[in-house]
Amino acid sequence: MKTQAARYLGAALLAGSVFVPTALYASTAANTTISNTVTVNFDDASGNAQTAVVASVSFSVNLVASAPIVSAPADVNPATESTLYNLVHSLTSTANGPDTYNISGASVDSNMDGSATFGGDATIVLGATTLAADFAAGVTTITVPFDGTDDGVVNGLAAGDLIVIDPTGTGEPAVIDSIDESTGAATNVVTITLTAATVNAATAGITIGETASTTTTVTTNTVTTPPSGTHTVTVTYTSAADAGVTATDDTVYTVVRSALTVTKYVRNATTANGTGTSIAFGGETYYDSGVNGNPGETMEYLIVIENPPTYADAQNIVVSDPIPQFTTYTAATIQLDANGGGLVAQDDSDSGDAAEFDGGANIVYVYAGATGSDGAAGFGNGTGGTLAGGETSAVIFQVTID
Amino acid sequence: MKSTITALPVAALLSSLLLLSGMASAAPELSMEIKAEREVTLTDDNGNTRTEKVTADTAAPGDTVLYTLTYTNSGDETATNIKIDNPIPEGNQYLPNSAWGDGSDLYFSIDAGKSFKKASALTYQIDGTTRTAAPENYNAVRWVIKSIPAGTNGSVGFSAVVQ
Repeated sequence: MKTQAARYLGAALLAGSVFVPTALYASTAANTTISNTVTVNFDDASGNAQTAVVASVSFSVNLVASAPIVSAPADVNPATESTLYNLVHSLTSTANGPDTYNISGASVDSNMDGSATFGGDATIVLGATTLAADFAAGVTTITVPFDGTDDGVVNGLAAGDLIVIDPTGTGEPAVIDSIDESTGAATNVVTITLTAATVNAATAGITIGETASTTTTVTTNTVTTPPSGTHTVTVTYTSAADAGVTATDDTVYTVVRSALTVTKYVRNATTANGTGTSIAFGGETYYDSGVNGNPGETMEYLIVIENPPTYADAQNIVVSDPIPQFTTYTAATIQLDANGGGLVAQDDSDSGDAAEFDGGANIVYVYAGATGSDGAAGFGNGTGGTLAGGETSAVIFQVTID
Repeated sequence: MKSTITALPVAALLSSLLLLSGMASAAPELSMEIKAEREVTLTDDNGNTRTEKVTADTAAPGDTVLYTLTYTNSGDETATNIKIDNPIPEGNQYLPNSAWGDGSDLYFSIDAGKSFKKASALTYQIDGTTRTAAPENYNAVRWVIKSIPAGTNGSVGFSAVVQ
């Protein structure tokens, strides 16, 4: 009935009136032709039977817009600032015919500098129909009303479409193998063949809705005060046939400020020298610049990773450091101070601790932070550790100048 | 042989001509028209509502469709023993107490028009108990009209809910 609001709006406006929608329900597919035929048998005055008179009238069934069923993806925590995320929803029609759904996004923000911004799919079209006849469990063909056009597409449903039979009931998924509309004009019903037999039985009038996925892109804003803020993102699907029919899903993005600082220092372990900013670590002095060395001398690098106080945990911290040109990595010289507990020597192998040296690619990998591990097979595949706010991780390794 | 053959058709032709002219001079000629309409409630700026009937070219599930069957006897003889049979269309459900028709007797069928009975006599057996059929289960309506005089018309009708 709601869809008729638009239909009668013109007349209503002319009459200075507004249409009042009433309760609605759906079970005959949109675009179905309903014909009423009457037969009159009668006699003449003498009681002689006369030829029967037949008359008929028909009308077609309108779309009744209905809120689609929207999946509820998991909240995103942690999310990073100014980052684009794909928010994918699965949408299933519960209407009695095809409808377009307009997609819009909005965010309610807490401790963020602004709202999230949205992009991605603007609309999605979902076909839908209803069952014309009961079917038992284990069938592969079902009948639905003819939509008036023999084009192999019945009320927006086509071969290959993923459908849900009785989306608000048994919710049985199925895939359309083919559609035969050749009988439509004669019988007013068409046959849909499914790729697999049905699990459940169903009765005439039950909805068959197409299901498809949509992607809305959500770009996070920046956190106002560290460590984190939230975007509560609401994606709304609005029926194009009836703007009063909507379905929504809320997804919370907990945005954590990425605040790790990484500083790299070096010292000449053979002949100490340096003029830049220095740092004392493990009883040695390292410089951020002004260090020189002769061929054959050993240089020791120090990488300091800090997560500032008050900031949220930084997770999965992976340090990858290609060995500089004209130097050669000195085997078994990697040491790691995971999160302030002191340096621990690491082996170069692909497993066993929290660091590994990829001799082929000439890269040092260190899984810094607490509980980092190089256990996963293959270089660079380990799991980085965690640094809480205010914690520091340090990595040391040596090279010789060629 | 030939002459007898010719003679017989002439007599037959004569008698059939007489019969035809007799029929043409006095016979009922019924015609029937069906209308499908919907009631639309409109509200004006003052909040007053009024109901309008509009032709149902389309209807949504849940809508009530009013069928009006108008018969006309344009012949020159009274039609008698008129039976107007209307199966409830597929996709429609009979609206209880909606059938009407002045000067007609109403019968309903729950077996797709094989048999018609008065509503109160329309029963079926389930688990050995006899029950009266609910109007929602009617699948055909019959109006029986004793006579429709020449040059007159009338209407019957019923309503159905689009499923």
